[in-house]
Amino acid sequence: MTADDLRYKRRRPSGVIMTALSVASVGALALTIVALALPFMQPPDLSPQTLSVVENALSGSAIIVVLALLGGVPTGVLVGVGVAEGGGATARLARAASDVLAAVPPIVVGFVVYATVVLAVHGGSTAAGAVAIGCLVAPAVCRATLEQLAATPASLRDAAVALGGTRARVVAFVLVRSIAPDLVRAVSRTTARAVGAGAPLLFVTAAVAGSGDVADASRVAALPTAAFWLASAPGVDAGARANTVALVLVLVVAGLGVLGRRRRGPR
Amino acid sequence: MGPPLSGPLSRRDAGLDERHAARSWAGAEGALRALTAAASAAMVGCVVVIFVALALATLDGRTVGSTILSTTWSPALGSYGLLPLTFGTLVASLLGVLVAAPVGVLAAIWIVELAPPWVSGPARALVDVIATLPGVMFGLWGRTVVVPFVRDHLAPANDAGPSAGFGLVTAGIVLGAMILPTITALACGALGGVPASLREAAVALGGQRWDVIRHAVLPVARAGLWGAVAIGLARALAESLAVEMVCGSNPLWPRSLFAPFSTLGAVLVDETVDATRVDHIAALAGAAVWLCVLVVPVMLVGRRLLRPREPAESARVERAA
Repeated sequence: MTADDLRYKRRRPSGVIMTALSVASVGALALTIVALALPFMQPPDLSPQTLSVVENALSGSAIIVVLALLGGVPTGVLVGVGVAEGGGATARLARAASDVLAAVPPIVVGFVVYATVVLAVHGGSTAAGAVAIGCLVAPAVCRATLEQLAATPASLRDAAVALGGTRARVVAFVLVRSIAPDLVRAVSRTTARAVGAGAPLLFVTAAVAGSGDVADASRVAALPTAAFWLASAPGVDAGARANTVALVLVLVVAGLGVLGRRRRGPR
Repeated sequence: MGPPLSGPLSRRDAGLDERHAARSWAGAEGALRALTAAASAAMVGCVVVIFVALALATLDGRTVGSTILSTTWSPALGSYGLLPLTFGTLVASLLGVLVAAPVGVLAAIWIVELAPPWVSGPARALVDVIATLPGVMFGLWGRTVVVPFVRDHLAPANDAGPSAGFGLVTAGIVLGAMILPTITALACGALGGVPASLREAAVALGGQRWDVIRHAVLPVARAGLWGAVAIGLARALAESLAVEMVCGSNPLWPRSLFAPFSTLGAVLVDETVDATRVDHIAALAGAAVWLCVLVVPVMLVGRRLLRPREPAESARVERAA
């Protein structure tokens, strides 16, 4: 038996052990995913009261997230373009601000919006919720824009400049247009996270600031905060309602996540 | 596509047209510059407002500074010690990472390196989608599944005495389940970014499957894997709703791993709306600042580690591998 054979025999068990461990880890991951579905195994509560809560929370989430996207997406794209194309101290500062804003815990964003907006105007509002969610959307879109622009082939920019395009023209009609499909997917993923972000909305939307009354249709709720307050409320009905609201939330978030994953061919 | 030309332009017309276009695009360039500058200012302004507001609110409380290092959080007594909340935040997050990091990295190795392509693609898609699920859903799962399991099985098996099921172990399990898909998805990305040429070279040199993974893939992906774990840790530290639902909201030192406790995020959830006194709001702002101090550096380091390598650095790592 040669030295190589001995080394091979010694290596083989460690490979088998590591393969077994990695298979066991995938099993644990699959088990976790299955376990996550356990609360939704019972049929959802479809009583009129629950449906009214779901309708209110769904429309509230839609309004808040659309407003946040209207502010956050253009801001994120413009900062991304400015950082990628500009350079210099201003671009570095903007990039650092974007990185830090993306790293701030969502509950802290909610706390600051509560302290600066809600307490100032003596009441929560949809706009305050949109500001809080917009603070999460803008840096995420900025990062996606930067990543996509960095992945754009330099030859594309060179060709556009060689054809006589000004910088603004190259950015608007060549670079941003070339990254648009990937950017749309990134915005879809960001929207999924924005819909699921409950912590920033906890104190700032009208429905929950002070009262916790998510069943009152005259106040705007949001899906994650409604699920949280219902889960924390006493009674079996509240638990069943929380499960139904959470099921709708999961379906919306997963749907947006799947949309954000769909890929096309190479750029 | 522009409008069709009705006939050949004279040289003078063409010159006028070019000058006009140049002027209009110079204006557009100025507008683009102004817009990007305004957006950048808005982004910087957001960060400044957040930290200035927190600093002002914290400094507003005259008595907070002297009690912030105490071990008691009791707004009724005017004592705002952050130590038990910090302990709860760190221990619950570290328990979650201890569970999720090895499982997530090993699962990513199987998905990227060992699984057949018809399994690998859908598995990555599923993990990506699960990673976007909101924290409140994990909290709900924790409250309906994990809390009864810990109360009825885990706590009695560990002689922990009567337990309602809320505690560090429950929070650790919930946070572990929450960050497991995140770590797996990011680790899949880090492993998938290793050049195929490295694997082919290692196979050509006679490496077995695990030799290739151990000696060619893992050294190159190491920074990305640490980045995945760091981002998972940051997500666990920053989580507030899921933890609040399973911690028991007791802002004192936990008596055991199965006793109720609280975290910095959970205390913000529990007390912000009810806080009316200046010192209480200041203490909550201090908790928010302290949470940022814990989370932001970990998140920034994680993002830095996950960033794709520069070509020169990548070549150096490949040579070393």
